[in-house]
Amino acid sequence: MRGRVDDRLRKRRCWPVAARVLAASLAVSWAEAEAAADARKSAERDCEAAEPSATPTPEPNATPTDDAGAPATEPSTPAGETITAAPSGVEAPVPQSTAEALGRTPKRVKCLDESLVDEFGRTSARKGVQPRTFRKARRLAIGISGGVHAGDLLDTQWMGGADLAFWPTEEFGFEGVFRVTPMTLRLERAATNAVSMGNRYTDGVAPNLAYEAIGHLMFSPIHTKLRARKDRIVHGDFVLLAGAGAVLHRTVQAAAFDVGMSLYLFPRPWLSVRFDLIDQILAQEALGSRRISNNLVFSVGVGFWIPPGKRAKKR
Amino acid sequence: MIAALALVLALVQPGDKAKACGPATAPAPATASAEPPVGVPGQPGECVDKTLQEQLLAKRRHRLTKDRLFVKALRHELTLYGGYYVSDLFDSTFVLGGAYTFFMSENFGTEISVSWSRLRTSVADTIEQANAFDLQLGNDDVIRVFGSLAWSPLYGKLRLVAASIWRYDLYFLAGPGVVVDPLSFGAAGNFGIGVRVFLHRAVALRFEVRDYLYRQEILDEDFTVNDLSFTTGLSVLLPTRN
Repeated sequence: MRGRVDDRLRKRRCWPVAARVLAASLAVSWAEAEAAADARKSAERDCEAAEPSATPTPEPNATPTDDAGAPATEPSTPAGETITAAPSGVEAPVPQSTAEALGRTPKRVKCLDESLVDEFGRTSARKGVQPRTFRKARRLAIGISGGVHAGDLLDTQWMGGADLAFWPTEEFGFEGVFRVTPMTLRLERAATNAVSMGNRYTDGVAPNLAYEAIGHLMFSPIHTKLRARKDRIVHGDFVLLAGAGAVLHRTVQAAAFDVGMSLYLFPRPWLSVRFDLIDQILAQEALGSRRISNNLVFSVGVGFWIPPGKRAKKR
Repeated sequence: MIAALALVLALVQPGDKAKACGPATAPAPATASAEPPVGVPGQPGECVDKTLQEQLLAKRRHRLTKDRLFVKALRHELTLYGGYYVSDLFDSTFVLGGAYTFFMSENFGTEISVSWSRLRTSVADTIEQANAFDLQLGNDDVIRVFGSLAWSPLYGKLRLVAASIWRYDLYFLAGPGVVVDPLSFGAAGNFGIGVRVFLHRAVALRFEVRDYLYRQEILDEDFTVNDLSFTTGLSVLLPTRN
């Protein structure tokens, strides 16, 4: 089905739509995946529930009996239907399985489900498809973050920044990030101080502040649930991100590229806490040494979502 | 990082559990007059005999949130890892290492880790030539030995596309240690955050970010350095059963 849709879209040269369909099909949401798993498990359990009572397949004109051999005058059926034995002498279709003969092939086994009583005396109910407690689609997020910027060629320094993100769908989002970090080189200080010479690379934090403006494309294929304590569950997303931008500092040449991963936790419908690990790739030159640097950026941030109270709707 | 975690824990409502994991909408108890008793042989609604029903119910019963598929308490974990090491004063390089962890409980464990990397710098030559002397960086090998307390307060599960569900731990660790190389001196500390993804009851994959905080001395100049590492490791948990 998906393939046919894709083909049709490709033939019509609707590449953006085709890509969207493919991405949406790949990024199966947690709820959909869980629903599929529940349905599969439910079916397996129902088979298990039915098969043990699999005394030999009853004759078409026989009355179903229980394990003790007593005739079950009103055998249970999940949907409230009763199994009526075929009148004698009438050709009835032979059931394919004992479960079918007993009428227990439907999705639920009522007697079992109703027998599951919790500690409060309530009967168990299947959760079924669970909506996401936090929706990103068509929402804006404003965030601030801070962390460590570990320079490949230069020093490790603190980093602070702000970001503005928009998520058109649950799976894809865009983000603009602005960061400030000092790009210092303290190694030279050891040498120049030893011989009372001046640094070629300016020392200090203030003169070495670098300003980064980078755009990210974000892809969120994994939804996760974390149990914080026995009574607390936090929902979250793993987000892959990649992007490009500019780093304004005298050691940086050309553009900078980011590749990384984030873990978003959603403690409130309007708040997210994120952990980012980003590999920042850029061309740098310091003291005549020029190379492609892989700087590692690790940061923790909070985001505020607009509109603030948007929650999932039951499907 | 700890503050961020505390924020998450403080803001999550206890009621979220009921929404997420607890019984959803419990139907009203059926009265005897409204519906016949169920599960009783010979009665309307019976489906199996009592013993078999109990067995099936045991299988069918929902797992509560306290149940864990992967138990760490009182188990040992052996890990081999490798990754990318970003030195503060010097250039970034590789890191290889191993770790042993004993879990005293589900949430706490003690770890001892040993890692090795090599010192690499691309600006030292320029500095030495400009200043006409040797920086005396010495041997390139760097050995780090650290003991850490690991705290894993978050236990989660995730699903990638239509694959099976993976369980994982989010953990924090911190502890003291030493860095053995010609430039480092004094005590060192490390702290980090990691994810332990359980592939099997006895096998886990670890992703970890650590910050090593220690002091280095080059030509009488002291530096407090922050080295950052990102590593991936494969763990074996012993005994192999929960």
